[in-house]
Amino acid sequence: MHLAYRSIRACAPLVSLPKVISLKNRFFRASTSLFGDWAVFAVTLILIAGFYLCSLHTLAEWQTSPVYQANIPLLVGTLVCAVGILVIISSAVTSIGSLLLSQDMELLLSAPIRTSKIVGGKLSEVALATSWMLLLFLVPPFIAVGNYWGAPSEYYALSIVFFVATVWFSAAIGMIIALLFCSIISAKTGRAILAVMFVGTLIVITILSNPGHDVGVFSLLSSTAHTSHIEMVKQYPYLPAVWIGRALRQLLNGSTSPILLIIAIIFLLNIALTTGLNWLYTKLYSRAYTHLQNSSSGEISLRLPRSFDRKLFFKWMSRPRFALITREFFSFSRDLTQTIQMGMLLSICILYLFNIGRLEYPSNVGVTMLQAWDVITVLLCFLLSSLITLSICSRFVFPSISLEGKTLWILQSSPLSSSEILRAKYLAWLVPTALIGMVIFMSGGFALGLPPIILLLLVVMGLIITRTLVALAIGMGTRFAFFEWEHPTQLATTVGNFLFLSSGVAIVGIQTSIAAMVFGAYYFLPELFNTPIHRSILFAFGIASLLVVHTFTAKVALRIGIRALDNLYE
Amino acid sequence: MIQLHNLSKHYRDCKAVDNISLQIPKGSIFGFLGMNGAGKTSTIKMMTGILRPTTGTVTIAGHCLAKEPSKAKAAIGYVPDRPYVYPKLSGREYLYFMCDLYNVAVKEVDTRIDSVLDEYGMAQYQHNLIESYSHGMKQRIAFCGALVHKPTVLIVDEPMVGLDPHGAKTLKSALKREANAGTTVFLSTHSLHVAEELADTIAILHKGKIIISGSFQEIQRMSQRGHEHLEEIFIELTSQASPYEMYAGGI
Repeated sequence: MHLAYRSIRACAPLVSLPKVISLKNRFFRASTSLFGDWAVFAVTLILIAGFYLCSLHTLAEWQTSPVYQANIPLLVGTLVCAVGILVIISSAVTSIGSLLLSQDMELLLSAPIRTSKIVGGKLSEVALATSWMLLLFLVPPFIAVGNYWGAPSEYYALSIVFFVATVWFSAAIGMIIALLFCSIISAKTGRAILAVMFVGTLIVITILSNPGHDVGVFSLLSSTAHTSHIEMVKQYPYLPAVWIGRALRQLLNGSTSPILLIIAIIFLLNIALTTGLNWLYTKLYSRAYTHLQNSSSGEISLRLPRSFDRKLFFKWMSRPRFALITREFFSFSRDLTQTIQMGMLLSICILYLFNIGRLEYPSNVGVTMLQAWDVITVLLCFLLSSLITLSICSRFVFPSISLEGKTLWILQSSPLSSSEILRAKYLAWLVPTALIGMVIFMSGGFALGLPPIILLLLVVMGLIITRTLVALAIGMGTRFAFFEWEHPTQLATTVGNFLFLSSGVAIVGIQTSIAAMVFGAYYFLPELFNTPIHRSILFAFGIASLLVVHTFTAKVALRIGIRALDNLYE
Repeated sequence: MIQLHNLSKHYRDCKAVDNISLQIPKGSIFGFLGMNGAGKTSTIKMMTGILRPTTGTVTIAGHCLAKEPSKAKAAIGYVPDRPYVYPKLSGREYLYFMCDLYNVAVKEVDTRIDSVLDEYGMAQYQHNLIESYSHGMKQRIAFCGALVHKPTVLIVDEPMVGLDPHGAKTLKSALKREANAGTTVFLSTHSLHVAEELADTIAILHKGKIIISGSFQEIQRMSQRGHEHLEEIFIELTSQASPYEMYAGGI
């Protein structure tokens, strides 16, 4: 163990050494019990094993369909590219925190350290922060594909090298974007630009929700977005996803040359990008830093609503709760990093809506197949919308207690109880998340052209699952709260957040199974549900089942959260 | 007004606060002194309800903190040693927030906010975000937040750290004014001259135990070496090895 630590310490960049040593001290010199850490470790191992078995099972199911089987490498290639894009966006957000807001930057800038060491250290920090969670999610399917295909040992070795190269590439691009963004745009104008982007995204969402939109000025946009559609990928041989897919297929068959070529290209690009990043850092850092700091000077334009506003609109809410909710909203809206994360999630929404809108009825199939297709599309819409809501909760709701940070004393010394604090947090995040969730579920339904009754059911079910996920995020966010953060963006990459995401996926899975029963019964047994009364009974059963899962999850999660908040007083 | 009864806080094997008892009357300034790590901040955190005592009770304005936390906490205004306040709110917004949290009567909110802002010289910065404030300004807005709901007990941890001479003078006058108006002030500080100047009663905490307490004159008499300044008494008392050899009888 000591040898392993020494080798990690020898490899770690100078800038990251304090973090490596802190981690070592946590495990080898900790005065507190490590039971929680080992429990988290055990749960993580179980989850990885679960992902692996699920992947293997899915691949075995696909064995029956030669079309699916032939497309597996292409699917993996597309997945790698999609994940790469997400890591780039995530790296850009993390870089703003790590490079411009982190508390250790003042020490580093005043120390006699070469610029390249700071850039290298921060690059590895960003790469590690944005990739470790993906690694846990991606490694099991990669191993499963190799196992299923009977891949040679080179497949596993080169996969590791490929992963390192891709993460390095994404982190470098993310850092360059962050530096350019913050040096060109000040925080104040940045917010205005992001607001315009937000409105623009809403317009694009509206257009993409309508399946017949490939006309006029938006045709260019549509054809660009086409590239992200898995079914269309094959038509674009210049796409990296296609190269990776082909190289992966050949690697699985024992030929290493194509993937080695791709790895070599990525590594060369990485060297060029890192050199460019180093140069950009020396030229733009102080400008970017000043821009970000300037956000805090001067008077603010938007002010917190005063007490009498509550009387007008929120009389039913207690004053302390109203105060907590409005404070949460204003702190959030004035934080540039949060706004950027919002932009990132909007881009995921666009990607989802575009793809869901492209699902078409298969031709030359029987009635049963069409019924199955109806169920699959509705469930896909439910599942993907739920997963997007989950990612919103993971980025914004889960860190909300941790974000109190060093200001937690204000609430702890106030007359509010732990339960009141947590319930206010829950309410503060439930309303915006439910609104966004409703837009996602509805626009997905519109994009599919669902009948009104199914659309309504989808939205109601969506609202229930949103409530469940928000409660889970608040409860687990409190249980795994981390108050000593250096910058808010790092909160999205904690172990607690990984566990929340995994639990969230499990809850979404349970809720989707319930939805599958309801929609399956509706589409497959039309003779049983042809009257409004029978239909109402079926839908009421579905909603009631979802509510049971919701009530159980929300109660347990909030109770865990309240207990965790109470434990902070010990 | 403030009553601590057999209060202790243990962190595993470490006794941060060891069985201390105090009774502080209304309208007085109580100086709480001790070296770094003596247990001052732990005591204060237990008094403000941020930490739960291992044993003992805290009573604030007649309300037991364990049994009636809301009522006891509503009577407290607290300024911690490091004044972390919400960076993304303006000074005035923070005070609105505090008024709502402590249920200050709606019609009084603006008058009270204006009054504390004027008192602490923060009126011209009230619409700026707190993240743009200097350390001293953050300290002053934290004081405004603690006083805006007119607490009957004001608990202040190391208030002079980072304040310029003007700020320190303003703060001292403000603390005197609060005490004269009937507020009980619990002042934890390293600045012995401040305690000497302001406090009606002083207690010195050493390794979690109160080794001496009383008015400055009483402490001078108890020390029996004729020291003129509190600093000399403090150094003499806290340099000795065991707190059991101290003047515990004077408490």
